[in-house]
Amino acid sequence: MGLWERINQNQALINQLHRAVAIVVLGLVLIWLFFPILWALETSLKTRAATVASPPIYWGFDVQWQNFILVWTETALPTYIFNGLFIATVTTILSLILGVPHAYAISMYQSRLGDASLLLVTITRIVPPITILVPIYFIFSSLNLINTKVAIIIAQTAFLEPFVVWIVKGSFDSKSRSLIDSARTDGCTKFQAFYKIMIPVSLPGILSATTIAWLLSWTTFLSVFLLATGPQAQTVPVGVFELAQDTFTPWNLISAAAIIGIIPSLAIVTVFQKYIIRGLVEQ
Amino acid sequence: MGKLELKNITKRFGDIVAVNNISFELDDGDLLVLVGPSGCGKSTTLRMIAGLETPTEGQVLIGGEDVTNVTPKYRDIAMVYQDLALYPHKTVRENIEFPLEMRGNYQGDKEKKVREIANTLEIGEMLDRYPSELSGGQQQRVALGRAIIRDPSVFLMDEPLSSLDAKLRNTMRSEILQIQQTLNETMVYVTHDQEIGMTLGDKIAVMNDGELQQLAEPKVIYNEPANEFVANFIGSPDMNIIDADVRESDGAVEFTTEGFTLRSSSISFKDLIQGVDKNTVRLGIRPQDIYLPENLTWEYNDDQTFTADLTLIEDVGSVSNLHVEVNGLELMVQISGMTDLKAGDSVTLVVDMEKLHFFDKKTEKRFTDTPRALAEAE
Repeated sequence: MGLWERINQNQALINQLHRAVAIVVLGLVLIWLFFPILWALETSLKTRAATVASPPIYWGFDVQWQNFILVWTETALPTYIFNGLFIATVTTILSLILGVPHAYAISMYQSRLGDASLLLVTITRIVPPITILVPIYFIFSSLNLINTKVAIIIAQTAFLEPFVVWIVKGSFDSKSRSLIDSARTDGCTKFQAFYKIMIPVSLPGILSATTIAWLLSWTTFLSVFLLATGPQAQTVPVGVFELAQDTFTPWNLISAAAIIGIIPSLAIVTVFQKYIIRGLVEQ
Repeated sequence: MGKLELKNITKRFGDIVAVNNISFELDDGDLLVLVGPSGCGKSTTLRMIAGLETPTEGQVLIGGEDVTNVTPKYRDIAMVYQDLALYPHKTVRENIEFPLEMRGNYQGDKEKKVREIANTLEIGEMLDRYPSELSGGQQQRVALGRAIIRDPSVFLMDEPLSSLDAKLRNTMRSEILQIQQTLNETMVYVTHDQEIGMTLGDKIAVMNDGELQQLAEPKVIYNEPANEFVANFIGSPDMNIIDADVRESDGAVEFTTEGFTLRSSSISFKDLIQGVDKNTVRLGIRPQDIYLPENLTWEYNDDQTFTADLTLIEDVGSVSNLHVEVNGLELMVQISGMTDLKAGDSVTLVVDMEKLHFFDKKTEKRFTDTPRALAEAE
């Protein structure tokens, strides 16, 4: 009997082997994911000279904490952050107000309109945003809404509402129909059954959709880049990108801005983390 | 107050007829059990009484009022569901209170009423727990409490016991019956379990393929099934139903099947076969109505016996099911207690001639409909 066969026969050994492999793979994935962030953190603490040093300096450099203060006071970062928070929050709220009832209608009622709606929702998820770039620009341009937060909110809601519908519908679908029936025979109208029973019971899915929609809005580059031409409407991803346009690129400041930009995301995820997993698993 | 009437109720989903022209009346305080196999339309019928579905044709009347198009909220009903449908995000107290809250017009002390109901159902200690923390039986009681708290005109139950284990099912069944009788509620209980039907209801309605097969008291349904379907569906094990030729010979009536012949001089049979096309009879006899000679206390003669081979014995404890075969014809016999017989033995069997059922081969309907069974099925 070969060594491999002998190992396979011993369940405990196999389990240990699986664990070891899982840990190694997980470790590699974590390094892959976190290395850019760590590198950005390092870069944000370097002097300009240190950032472009070749070969790259990984440690032992002079830590420049003031980069963070500099980027806050010397650039439009506070404005970008405010814009981003405003846009993400309003977009998310709008997407929920439209998306949750939308998902409910599709989930609860068999109708051709519902099927058509679901098809549209799915198509929105499939079509790459960049393909409709030009038409979107023209629409907002003709409305004189270029470089306004309103335009960005509208554009983002158009993308994120279907996303919300997608997740929330999955959550609604997984609930037993008798819950709603029961609410109705207990005296609820269809609408009361919706907000008194279905929504509380599907809260994990709804909060999960909320969090992810917010994060998607906060981190989106394309729609903001397209529709915002100045600091009135620009958000962190685009603002940070603009900083890099100079011939003299301040990588350390850019990295500092990026690190600061992570903070709201971290905050949101920390608050809602248990719902995110539950919500995604419900499908 | 709690009178329930269904008049010519039909429900179509596109081309599919789920419920076909059903009518019946329930008096205040009656318990009707609606039985039938899966897909027969019983749940759809229940949902139309509740208002969760609207009939394509026909009327529903509760307490004399036409509620056919009224939403569930404005019908004086309560319903218990197969999966109980307790609200997971609400405590037991909030679950039970919910109908009082939603129907809005309760004048008294809600808290007190909830406590009363909970104590009656022996879940008084659980009021602040969540449904997920309770056992199956306790959850069942919460569902019941939620339904009875408003004391509705009609109480609807959609197979509420099927998710429970057998022992618990029996306990809960008695409890439901007790509640119904104490509160004198009009109740419609839907189930696929014919045993529940036989033990629970004042009346049973048997449905199949969207149609009402028979509506009568359990005794009548059992002793005078209106057609082959009802005869087979009610009673366990299934009734033996076989083709038989009917003949008059020497002043007696002879029934000849593939495997045996029975004769009787009884007048009732002579009346029965008047006008019957002699070759289109289906003979039905329940396993419990065939006996081993040694178990009999009454007199019998050779005309009502036949011999068969025993192929299998199922000893179920208080009864034994004997699978017998005669001339290729397979029959089931149920005797009380056990027997020393073994598979392969040849047995003499005695048929209780008074318990024979006859069905028309073409229509599958019973030949002698008692006036009562006929009237209630209409």
